[in-house]
Amino acid sequence: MTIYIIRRVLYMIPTLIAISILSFVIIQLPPGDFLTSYVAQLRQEGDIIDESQLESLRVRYGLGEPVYVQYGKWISGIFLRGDWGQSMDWQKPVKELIWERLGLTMIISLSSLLVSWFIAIPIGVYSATHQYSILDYTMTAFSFIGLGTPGFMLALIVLFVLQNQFGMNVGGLFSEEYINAPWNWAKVVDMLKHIWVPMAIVAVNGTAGNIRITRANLLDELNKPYVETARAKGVKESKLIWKYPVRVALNPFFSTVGWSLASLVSGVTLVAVVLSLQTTGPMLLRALTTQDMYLAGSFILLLSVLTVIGTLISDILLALVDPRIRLQ
Amino acid sequence: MRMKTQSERVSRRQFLQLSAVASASALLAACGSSPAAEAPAAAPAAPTAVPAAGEAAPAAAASQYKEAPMLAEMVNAGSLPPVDERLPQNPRVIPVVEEIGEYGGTWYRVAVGPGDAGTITNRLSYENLLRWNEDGSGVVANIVESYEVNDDATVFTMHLRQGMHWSDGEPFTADDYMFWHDDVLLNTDLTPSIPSWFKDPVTANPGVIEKVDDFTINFKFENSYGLFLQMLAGPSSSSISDYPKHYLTQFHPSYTDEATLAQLTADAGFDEWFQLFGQKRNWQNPEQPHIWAWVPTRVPPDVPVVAERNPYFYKVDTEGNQLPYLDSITWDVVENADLANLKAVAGEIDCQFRHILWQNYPLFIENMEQGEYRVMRWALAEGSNCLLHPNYNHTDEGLRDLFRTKDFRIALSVGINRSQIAELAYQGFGTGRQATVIKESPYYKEENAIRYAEFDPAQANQLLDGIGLTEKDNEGYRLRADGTPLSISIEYAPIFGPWRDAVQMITDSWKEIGIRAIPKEEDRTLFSQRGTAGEEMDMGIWIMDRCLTPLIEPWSFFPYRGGTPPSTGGLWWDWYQSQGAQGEEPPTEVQDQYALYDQIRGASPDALPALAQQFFDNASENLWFIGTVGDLPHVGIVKNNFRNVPENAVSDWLQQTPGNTNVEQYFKRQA
Repeated sequence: MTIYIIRRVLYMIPTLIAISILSFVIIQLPPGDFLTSYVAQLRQEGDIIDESQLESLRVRYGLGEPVYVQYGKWISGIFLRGDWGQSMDWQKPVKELIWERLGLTMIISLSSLLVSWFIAIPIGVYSATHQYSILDYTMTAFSFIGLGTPGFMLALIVLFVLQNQFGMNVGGLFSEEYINAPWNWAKVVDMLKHIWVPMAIVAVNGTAGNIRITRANLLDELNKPYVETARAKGVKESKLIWKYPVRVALNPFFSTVGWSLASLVSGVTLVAVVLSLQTTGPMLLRALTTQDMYLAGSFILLLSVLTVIGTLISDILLALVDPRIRLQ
Repeated sequence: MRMKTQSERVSRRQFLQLSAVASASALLAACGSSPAAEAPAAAPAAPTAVPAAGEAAPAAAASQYKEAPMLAEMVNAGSLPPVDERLPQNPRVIPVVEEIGEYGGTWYRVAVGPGDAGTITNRLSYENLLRWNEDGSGVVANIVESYEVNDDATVFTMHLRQGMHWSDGEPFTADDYMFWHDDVLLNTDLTPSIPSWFKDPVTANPGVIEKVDDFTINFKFENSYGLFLQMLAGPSSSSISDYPKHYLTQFHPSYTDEATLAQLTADAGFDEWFQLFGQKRNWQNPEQPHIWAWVPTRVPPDVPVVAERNPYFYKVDTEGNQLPYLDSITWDVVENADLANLKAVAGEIDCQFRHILWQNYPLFIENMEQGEYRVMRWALAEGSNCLLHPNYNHTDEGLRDLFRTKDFRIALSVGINRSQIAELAYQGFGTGRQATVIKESPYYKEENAIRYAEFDPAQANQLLDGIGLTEKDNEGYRLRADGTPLSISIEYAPIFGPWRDAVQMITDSWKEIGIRAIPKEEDRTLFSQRGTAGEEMDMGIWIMDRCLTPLIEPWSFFPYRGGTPPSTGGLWWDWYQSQGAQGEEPPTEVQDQYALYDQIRGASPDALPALAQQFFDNASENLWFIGTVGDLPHVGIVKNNFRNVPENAVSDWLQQTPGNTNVEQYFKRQA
């Protein structure tokens, strides 16, 4: 097992190098650079930057240099000094920007992930064991609606209803008076008042999907001979279901941990844009559209690292959970 | 020491006098002395009348000027010098639009993206040496108390205000400008290329700044450069008044030793000192002092972004109240313009024109009462929102020659149904007009705005027949004289208006006169590249803005090598720029227009108006560009209790709107 993990970690290194090069190049592929998109944004409102000013900004940001020089500086900065470069859009070091937002994003994503599992697994198990019952049909209907409604749509509807019916402004994560306030108990309470909306919205989609997955997998397992055998031997029905087929049916949850980790950072982007949340998603989106390359590149590198680590974790988890898997 | 109590009435009269003198001194720029400087010296000696009982704060009672309560408290606490010491000896007096304002309050605005609150550097702080007056009819003194131009317009003398300060209380003097000139402009790391506004109009050598004394500087050029006054009032030069020497020298290698600077650079995570310098001289660095009315105190990534009043701001109202009235500006940062418009509708914005879309006008009117705001319509300085740019240097010689035929251009122009475009594409906002300056401009002539602008397919057909385009294909489209098909593709990136609809309507109405045109929408970057190359774009669409006083960069008044706007005469412009060494010799009328522009750049302030008028008339008569719909409103949302915002104003980049409406005298009625 240890050797397996070490080998996998070693494989990760070339993978990450390849990803970092690719992502850096892809970010720069569209014509123009940060400054052209910056100029275009300003021009939209009638503002104009003269050539000489642009020239000095270009020198300051090192945009005139070839891509491989820019990449070299960036990647060596990360490895040698933990310096992720400077965001041109925000005029701040990238590391200051990313970590600040990462916390809130993790809270929302992680909690909605857990909420969706806690709701979805029991319902999925119930649906499978009581296939074609009234409750199964109801749950199925609900989960299809949940799957079919995009998160941002749901966010818009919730925004509209809360605003119209209750006069609540649910955008953002804090009330006006707490945005600037230092962290204290009142601010945490205020955040909890706001955070359930995005959490619930994000959880709905996940829950719906997870119900379907659990149900389908469990149905496959329920007819297998080992279930029959256990039942014939007189194992209590509830113990039987939860101990054997459910464990197998949960495999997909563990094998998708790889993506879940990355989506903790990049996920819920659309919902966050709609609800104007101070999370990483909108920042990544903006960095990509403005070609703020060090910020965007750092995000993508971070996401790749999380995906690669997530895949490793999911493999290890699967090996632990699923008795059929053997390390070779 | 003499007691200096004084009444409201006396001080008001003095200030009216003072403001009159100040503006007079600006108008009589050529006159050598600065009479305005003497007026305030006389003011404290004024006889005391009835003191205004209990009105002024104790600290302000003995003072010539009044200040915001929050500053008076700081003065009483001893953390800030009294207002008389903070203001220059001769503050600039700003007339109020409606009434003398109340101190206090926050101005809520919305920024789209973190950099957008950067409007604090220009539009919300129009602090140039000189600036355009409110209606754009002339340039007046702003930071300077007076200025002079020598007879041949080669030396421009600026008299700074004595006793003016940066927002941290340090003196603002000629040395700050010398620092900009010697250590920023002439430093090739910071300024790789000299800005065009600071170049001699003939030799293109950079100008020179000389320090005469602590409060007097001279700008010098080799040749006459009368237009330089407008350059000083324009946006490009505004940054030269934002280089606080005492603060910035610590990041500059001419003043700080190499080791210290290298350490500072490395600590901030940069490779080069000029990257550090660039980050320090930046509105997003709250440590940097400015001379603006409000200085940033909270910057991205922290939101909302906040700028707070500058206790040393050098302007007062007509009653001697130090400006600004508003304590602070706060920007909420949203992801896109739609969200900004939603916030406006919800009444969450105090006063804003930026990002507010005229397309949403009905929505704004509908929610006016609920949101407790009024909807204002300023004039956008757009001569034409959708301007056609024919390519006179096209590689397709047949098309090129047709464009060069004036009758062909006239036919295209009268072949456009402008009122239909205004009605349908622009929802009734704006009017059909020819490409010329807006009607608020000092150079506006009605005949230029209606020339060839009336929809007249019969005349168009007649003209086209007249130039030999008589043969038609089986679809009814005219063929070229040599019998090959004639087709004009109109390229655009739909950015500044409903161009997709407008272009479609243009092509539809040209069908009536037998001209085949094909709309071609493309990405902005591609459009800009094709426009710069200027070889294969038949006709491009761009906005014709900055049309109030467009002499600084008159790109829509002669064929030019652009990008955005697209090139119309790339080779001709190359020829002119290289004095005949490159490119292609333009026809006489174009050469004349280029020569006239050279004259305008050098012209003395007296000679300028006549030359400028000639320039705009020429452009109109030659119809190098075909205008469609202009006179659009710049719609803005202003809360009912937010006052002193003028009903009528022109919105233009050169005028730094809303800076030209004196935002420092906006206030919020508290009751």
